[in-house]
Amino acid sequence: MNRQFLWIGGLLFLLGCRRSAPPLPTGTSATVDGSAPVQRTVASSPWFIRVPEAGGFNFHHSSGKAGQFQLPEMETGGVGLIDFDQDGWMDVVCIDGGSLDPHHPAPPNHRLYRNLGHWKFADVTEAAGLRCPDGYGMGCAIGDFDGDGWPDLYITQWGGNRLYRNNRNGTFTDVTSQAGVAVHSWSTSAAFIDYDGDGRLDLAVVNYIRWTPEREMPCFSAGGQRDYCSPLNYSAPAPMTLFHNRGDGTFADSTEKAGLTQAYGNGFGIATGDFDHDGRLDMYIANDATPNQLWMNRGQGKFVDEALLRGCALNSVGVPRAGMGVVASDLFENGWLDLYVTHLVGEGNGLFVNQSGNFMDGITPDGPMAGSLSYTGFGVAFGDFDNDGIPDLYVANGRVRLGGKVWSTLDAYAEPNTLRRGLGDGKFTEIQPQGGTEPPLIGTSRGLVVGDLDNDGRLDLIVINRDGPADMLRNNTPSDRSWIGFDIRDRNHREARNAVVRIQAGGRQQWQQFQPNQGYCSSQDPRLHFGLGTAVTVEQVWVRWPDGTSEEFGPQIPGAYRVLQQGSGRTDSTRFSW
Amino acid sequence: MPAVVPAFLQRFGKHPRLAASVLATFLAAGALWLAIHVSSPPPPVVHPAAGLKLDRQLESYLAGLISEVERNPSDPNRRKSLGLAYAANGLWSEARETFLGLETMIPQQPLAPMYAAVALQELTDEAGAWREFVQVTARFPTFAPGWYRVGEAALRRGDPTNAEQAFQRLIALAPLEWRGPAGLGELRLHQGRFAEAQSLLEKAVHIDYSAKSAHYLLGQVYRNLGRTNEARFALDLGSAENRLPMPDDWAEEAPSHLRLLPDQLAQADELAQRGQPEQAVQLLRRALVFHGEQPALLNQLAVACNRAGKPEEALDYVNRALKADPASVASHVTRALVHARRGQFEAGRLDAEEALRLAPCLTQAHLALAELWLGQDNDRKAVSALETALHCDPKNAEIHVELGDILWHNLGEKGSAMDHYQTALSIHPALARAWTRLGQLQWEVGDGAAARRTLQQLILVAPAGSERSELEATLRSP
Repeated sequence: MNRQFLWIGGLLFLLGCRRSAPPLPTGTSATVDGSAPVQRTVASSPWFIRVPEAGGFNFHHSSGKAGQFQLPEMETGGVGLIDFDQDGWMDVVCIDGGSLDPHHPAPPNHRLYRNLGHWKFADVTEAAGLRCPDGYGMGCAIGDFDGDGWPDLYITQWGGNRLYRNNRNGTFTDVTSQAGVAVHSWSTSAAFIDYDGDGRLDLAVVNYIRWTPEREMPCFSAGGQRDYCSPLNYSAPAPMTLFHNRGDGTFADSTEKAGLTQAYGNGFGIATGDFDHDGRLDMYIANDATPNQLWMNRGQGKFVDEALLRGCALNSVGVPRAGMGVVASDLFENGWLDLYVTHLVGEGNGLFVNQSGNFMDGITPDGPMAGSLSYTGFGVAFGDFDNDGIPDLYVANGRVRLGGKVWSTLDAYAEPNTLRRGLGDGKFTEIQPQGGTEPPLIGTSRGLVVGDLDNDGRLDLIVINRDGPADMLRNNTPSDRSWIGFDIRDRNHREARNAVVRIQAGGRQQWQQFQPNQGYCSSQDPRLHFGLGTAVTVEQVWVRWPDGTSEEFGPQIPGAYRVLQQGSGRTDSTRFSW
Repeated sequence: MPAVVPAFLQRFGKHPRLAASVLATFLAAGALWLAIHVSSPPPPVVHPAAGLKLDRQLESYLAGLISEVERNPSDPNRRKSLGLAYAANGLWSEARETFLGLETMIPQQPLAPMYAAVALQELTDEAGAWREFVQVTARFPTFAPGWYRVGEAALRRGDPTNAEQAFQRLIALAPLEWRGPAGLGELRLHQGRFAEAQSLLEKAVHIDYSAKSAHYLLGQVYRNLGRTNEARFALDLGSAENRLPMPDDWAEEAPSHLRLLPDQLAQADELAQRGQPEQAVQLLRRALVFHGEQPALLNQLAVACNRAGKPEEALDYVNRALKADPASVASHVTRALVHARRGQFEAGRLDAEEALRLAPCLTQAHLALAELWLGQDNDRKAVSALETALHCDPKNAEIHVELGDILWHNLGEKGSAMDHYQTALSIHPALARAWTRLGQLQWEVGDGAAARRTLQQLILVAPAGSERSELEATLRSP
């Protein structure tokens, strides 16, 4: 969301300077014929089919926009998958905006849809006690903060976040006040993590800017039409918030103690993982138009921002980009978590390749960022949609400022979403029809979740579109490929967040980290899913638990979701090595 | 012509071949003249797209430029200005059409097709822009900015072969342009050829020490070479808000065409910060004609007037801004500073406090409060306000320097001042002003060796800056 006009010295205006060149790896081939180097694959049939509203999923997002161009209206709209009733079907939480108009106040209309199976859904918001009385909705994070085995729900908002404890009977209780996790800022993404290894899920909350309606100001698009401002106009970046779980249903604000007020930007996305393999959980914050942070966990509850030195604060030439969504994923199957960040149109999405704990902002003609310059990316997720054993990439796009190619006469900010098929070793090819649907999905898309909504082993999608109906996309790829899924639990049957799972199947190894709270303001399917191609068995599964121990789980039969519980495997004789 | 031809033939009657040849040449020249002036009329004047609702000031400005072009359709300079005006105000389709038309008028000028390609790039047609940049270098192989564009585009496309060729050409054509070795150095960095990258990037910063992206790239090289301290320093020195392309002969004109309000506000702010507040005032008054009681504009005008030493005029503008938007925190902060300049410290404090009521952790309001307390010689309260500002913005190294200055010069607390300068440098190692202050303070407390070491650090940060001269002068003093 940066301005597009740049200046030098004595007001020397230089055209076409808003982009800066990301680097490239050794050995990429030259393309001199002028054709775009983006590879495309035309699928024989669309990978996804829209699920009709008749099935009961009928969420319609509202930003409450009233012509005042208030910035939160442009960023709202997260989504989460939660099996809140533990019936084995992923239910859906959709986050609405609400209204910022003081003359027409309205609470956000967040919705909870119970998955009845077979693509039938029921809106159970009121029955579940999830009516949100106030605030302006942004996103959500789902996690079992009280360790009772039932997932709880944290909703991020402007004007006060909400924590809903799962009552284990199909209802929730708002425990925000008792828990002490309101955050009266403008929160965006959040993640449940166990940063101190005490077995309890703490809560990391990303905050955007210190915004109030009084700080709003008129901004204009190219050509002079009234438009939304850049966050830079407000000069008010906000530090993130870290809550330490005391284990008694309450949290302590440990932000300052952890050192997290020492650096901050306009925070949008969070990805967590052990990025330097020191056995401690680190955090990466994607900031909008300000440098990103990489909070390296130094133990004893302390973090230090090393993003600049480690190469993931800025792009390759030292310029911040507009970070929106972010995921940590091992794209090169070497055990190191890479970072993929969605950005503003003209910047291109970015891949920070993890090279033993340091990062390189990389670009290749066939990388996951190829073809992204034309769009503003928000929601992002990797998932093996075609079960060929290699993760694919879906990005939910939608611009934040007027201008550029018009994709929709109804929504000037709308853009098509994009789908890229993974080819392995960090290479991807664009899937046609665009975004994997026919016709392409065009909207101002924000939140995105990937999950198996019908438990058929093929990953489906849900996309939240600003001021439009949400899209539920059913996976339509061939069903003849093999897969396996895992529910990762610690010794006490609690979610083992940030455990790393490595499998050996069909002569290949795959790595995944268990952390559903990533992307943009969204919470993914809390089960790990691996496509296996033609493999008929999973020969070996290793798990590196968050406490540093590792176990082997012997041959596994594909085609089902299985529980991997700490203590039930064999102690890894080879020691889980990265 | 009919009367001229027989006379012509009569004169050259003894030399029919020569006559025919001269006649042919004459006719060919005439045909060329006709081709230029009759058969190839100037390209049509590009108007803003139908239905485009333009800002009033921009619309009026463009109408004037269009009218000039229509009156002088064969004048390429006016066309160029119109194209730059479209580009400067984000109307890239119109800019592209204008530059393409200009290209037909001045086919020998490489900037027209290059700017048309830039417009295409801004319209997010990367592949099309790439093709056109390549064509520009094919047609104008000695045009250095064209090679720069090709090199940059090749890096973005992940195309090392073309990047290599383009930057090598750029180095050969423009040996004093830092972007050549920097581009090639970037390529080497990503090829893992760190020693070569280091050499190229050190050359780039030697050519222009203010080349931030070259420093940043060099920092990455140092990190890969295990030289962590140098890496940290170079990365900080190289962090920038943007990366600017290679300048060319048209670039300087473009800012004069900015007519969108946010750009004019930014332009005025830059002018004021560069010590030209009067020009900022002029620029904003021009905008005020079209934007009436627009609070952001009135506020910025007040800021500019205050900086230009016209606090009474500033007060008038900021009062109008607050009348239009009483809850504007920015305007309350501005009025606080205007009151400070007028010596009305109590009134100023009320405004700063109102801003803080509206936005409790507003750094600028705390800074304004500090300014007001300083005006009243209440250094302790000024320190307190700055400390609160730091609480809101702990990574702001400039505030640490301010605090250090007050603690040292006004309160004589040299130890605390030293701490603040060092904290500022731990946050922002490339902050030259902090090195200067630290060195001066070290000198004052009698630690000449430390001061000289500080000077060496400062020379690394700002080898040609005024901060260096300032510290050197201190170190020459008794």
